[in-house]
Amino acid sequence: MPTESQTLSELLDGTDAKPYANPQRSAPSSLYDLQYRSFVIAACLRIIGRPEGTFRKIASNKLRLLQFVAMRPWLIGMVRNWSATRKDPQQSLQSSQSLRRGFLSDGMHDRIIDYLVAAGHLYKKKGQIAEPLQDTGLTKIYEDAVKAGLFMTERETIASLDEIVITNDMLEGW
Amino acid sequence: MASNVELYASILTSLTGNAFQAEVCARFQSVVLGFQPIPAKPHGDAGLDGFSHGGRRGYCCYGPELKGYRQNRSLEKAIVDKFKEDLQRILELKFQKKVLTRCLNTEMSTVLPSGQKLIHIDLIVNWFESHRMLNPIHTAFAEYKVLSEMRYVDADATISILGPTELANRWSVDEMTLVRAQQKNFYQSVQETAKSVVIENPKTFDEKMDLLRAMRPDQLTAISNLAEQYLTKWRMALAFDIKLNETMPGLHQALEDSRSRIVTKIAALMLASSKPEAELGKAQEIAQGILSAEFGSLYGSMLDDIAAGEVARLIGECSIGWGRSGGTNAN
Repeated sequence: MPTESQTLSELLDGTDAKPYANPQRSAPSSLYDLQYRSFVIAACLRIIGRPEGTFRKIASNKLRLLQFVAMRPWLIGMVRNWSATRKDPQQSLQSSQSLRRGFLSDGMHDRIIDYLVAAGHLYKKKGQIAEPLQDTGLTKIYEDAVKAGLFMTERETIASLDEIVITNDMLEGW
Repeated sequence: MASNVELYASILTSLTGNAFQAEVCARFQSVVLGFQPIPAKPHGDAGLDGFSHGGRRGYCCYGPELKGYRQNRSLEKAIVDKFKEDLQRILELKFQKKVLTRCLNTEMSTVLPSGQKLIHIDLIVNWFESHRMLNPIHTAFAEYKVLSEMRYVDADATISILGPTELANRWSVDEMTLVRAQQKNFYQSVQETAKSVVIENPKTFDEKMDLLRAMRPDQLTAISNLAEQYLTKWRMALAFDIKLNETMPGLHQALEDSRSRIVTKIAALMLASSKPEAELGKAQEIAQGILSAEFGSLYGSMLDDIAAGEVARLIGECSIGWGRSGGTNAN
């Protein structure tokens, strides 16, 4: 049985069609865009992070979950369900199994954090990610995007996540 | 931490339809020596999905779509009805004008070894959280035995109803079993997601198909079929992307890299050829080869569809396409 491509090729054969290839039209996913990922981390720190001294801080495990869901807003229902069942270990495990596999194996997030730490925009402190309040790197990325009205969904998702109880037991109990 | 048995039971609960039956059969094949699955096509399965012990034990499966039932009562009824129907077929009975009467099941003689009768039948279902199914099924089985000619079932035959937990507990569950079941679960979730995926802007894809229709008015049906197949598989490829992205970011990155390699390779062949339409015919093969290298061992069974979907996506995004000679491209 011919494949769809073979059928297409046969249909085009003998016509005056002019096939073309524009590989540059193939846009990579924004999930692998450094600016976008930096924006999401900046947004998590600003919407959910707490100022402490000269830093804005957030638990690193929580940031890992927040940024993962912010980029996949359809998963928020799963987080709500997980939170609602958090006192029942069996149900909690079942409702969160695939979500946890997802955000725990998000290696790209680790690389972005490592980059931002190496660039001096973030610090790792005892299970926390901290951003100096006076740092301008992430602030500029965040403010430029907000000014341009970009990434509304991501910001709204992060704000919604702030209303869901996410405990240390949920994040560390694996 | 849940045990392998608990995880396996949970996966079995999430499988439905053919995926559930396939997993149950695969499970029996791995733990019951001589388990014989019975293909339903082309002549039907005669009511049995498998047998073992030389034809003395039979197995029937049912994996209803649980979300389709709002009340436990309707789900219980669906399960009871399905298993009663299977038992009627095995016992060669059929309702005629609301009266249960004997009716030859000709396929049974081509399924069980000659002269062999079933002495036990397991009825396996993906939801078993109500004892209210027991009485109707066991009572019906006893009634059917009285009415039946008993050509394929022993007079002392018994039945058991097993749910995911009972099946998972019957034998030890190893990692291989979990991986196999999770793959089926993943395939099923991709298919489910594909049903609700909306292709955001198929306009340029449609334009290319319209141009093809204008150039080949003698092939309108074939072009419509091709467009339909491409769109279906495009949705499947998008669903695969979404599911990997949700649960396996590492593999999603591999998919992203594969996509880049696919478009580069197809474009290189088309750009270097004096007959690019012939190279376009190899696009799916190229996509499948590249995807197989990354995903073949895990998701081999769905890569045909994903490869076709990826080619459709490239056409829709105008990375590859066609225009009229001397005219502008259809993008």
